[in-house]
Amino acid sequence: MANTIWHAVQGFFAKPVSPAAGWVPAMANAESPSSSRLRWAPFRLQLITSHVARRTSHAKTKHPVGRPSGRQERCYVVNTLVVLKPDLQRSEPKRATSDVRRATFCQVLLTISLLTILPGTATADEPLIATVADPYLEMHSGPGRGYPIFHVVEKGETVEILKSRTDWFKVRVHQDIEGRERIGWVHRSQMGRTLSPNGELLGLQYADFEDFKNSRWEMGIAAGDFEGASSLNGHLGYRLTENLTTELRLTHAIGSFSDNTLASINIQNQPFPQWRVSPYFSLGAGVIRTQPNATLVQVEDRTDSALNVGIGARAYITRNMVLRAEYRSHVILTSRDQNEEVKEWTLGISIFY
Amino acid sequence: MDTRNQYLLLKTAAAFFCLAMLPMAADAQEQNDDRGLDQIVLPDLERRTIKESDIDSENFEIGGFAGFMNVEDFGTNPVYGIRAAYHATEDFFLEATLGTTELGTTSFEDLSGNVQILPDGQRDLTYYNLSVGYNLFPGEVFLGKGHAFNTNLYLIAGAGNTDFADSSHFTYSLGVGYRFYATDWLSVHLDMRDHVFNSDLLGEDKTLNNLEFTLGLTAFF
Repeated sequence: MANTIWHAVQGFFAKPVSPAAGWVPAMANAESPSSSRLRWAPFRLQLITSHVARRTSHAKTKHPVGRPSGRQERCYVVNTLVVLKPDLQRSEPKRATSDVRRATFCQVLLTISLLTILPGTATADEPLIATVADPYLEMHSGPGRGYPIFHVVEKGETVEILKSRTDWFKVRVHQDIEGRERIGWVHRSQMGRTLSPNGELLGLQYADFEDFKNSRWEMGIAAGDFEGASSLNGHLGYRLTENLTTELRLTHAIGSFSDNTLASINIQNQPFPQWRVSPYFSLGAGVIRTQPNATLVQVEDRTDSALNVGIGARAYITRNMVLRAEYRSHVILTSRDQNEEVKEWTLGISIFY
Repeated sequence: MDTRNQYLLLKTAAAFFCLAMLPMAADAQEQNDDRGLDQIVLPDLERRTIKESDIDSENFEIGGFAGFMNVEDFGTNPVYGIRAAYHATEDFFLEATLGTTELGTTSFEDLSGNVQILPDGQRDLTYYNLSVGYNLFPGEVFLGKGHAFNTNLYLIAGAGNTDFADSSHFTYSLGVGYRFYATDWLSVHLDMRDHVFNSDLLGEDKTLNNLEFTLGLTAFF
């Protein structure tokens, strides 16, 4: 299936756009062709094709012989919707608002009509059945260590894993010894010692330092001092290579004289990613908006560009959490004679996954 | 027919083409499967491993709340907002809240007649908070003989910003909440929080304690 769709999609969408090729120029030829349409359309379609390909190759490794599960099929449909949505809006930037609104409405209708088809094309996911390998498996009445154990599953019996919450797994026993269905929560440490259908231990390790080194995404919050003002920030990072990370960061600094909002894109270099406390250097650029406090002076808000350079360290704490401390020096490129320099330090917590 | 309609038509056609491809692709796969099974009959291959990523995790919580908030000097007024949380472990969670309320009149304004400390446009208060919560007392409650519901009493502390009268106030918040799980994925919150910040709006700079009492509904996903 992977190849079929991959080729079909590639053949259908990924042609170079010239006035004589495919359906994209057919649209462009209509009424008022805009250059943005020609530029945007191939870009977006290219993106989608790569997405489809990745999903399908994933399906292939997962089910060497078995039928594709419903989850994969659903992915194709969702991806198709992604193609449709932005294209309509982007391609008609110059139209009157009412027209755009109508187009959006039609698009919503279309989306709804597609969504109603979804249940028909999707089949139920395969249940995840695990076999108890330890002498017993304890089922708690809630996802917490204190909840009472109300049922014990014996060695050799099977349970269906329904979902997880933190370190607890919700499982179902279809028929216990009295012929009743039982649903309860099992801790990670016990769940990990059950067997998957191919006889392997489930494992289900806690996230550890190794996972941290291999993780891609990092999301966190931090608080600190922004040249005397209290500051808060949220950041989302993506690790490009072992040493390089890009980061999007939003800072809000609330001072007694003014209020600053700073959005920046940064790139970080970690020279020693294998260390538990790992230093990094950061360079970034962004925009800062300064709003003077209204009770003091009536001055207009202003928006300036800002550059920053920073040094910091990540310390791995436990599971999927790291502690981060950072010092940054910002240069705000004002429209006045002198640029402003702002020093910032923060301490925060991040989650990686 | 103008361009837009042509567009829609093309989009619809493209969408149906993609949808039509699905069954075709599935058929192709089934045929491949049959051939594969004829050649190598290895039923063991049907058996799968279970990885953690296959299991649906429900660690995020999102929802809304409504209630009353007292802003010092400005009376008690309805407040409503949204909240999102991530449950990192069974004990700790991170939460972000965004709320809004409208300020009432101070007693000074009420007594003096025409004086208005704040114009109408500046009476809207919005706040956000980033907090860490700790599930202090997890437990169960019983409804009659046949029903038991899980609950949690949690402590929560955080920092954020409160925006009103055209100025921002760095805010600490402290509170206690009660989470009642109606089902595994739907919970009802009863929350009591104190938002603490400094303000010099009424002359001298002073610390304000603002109590908020809300009822919320959240879903886990």
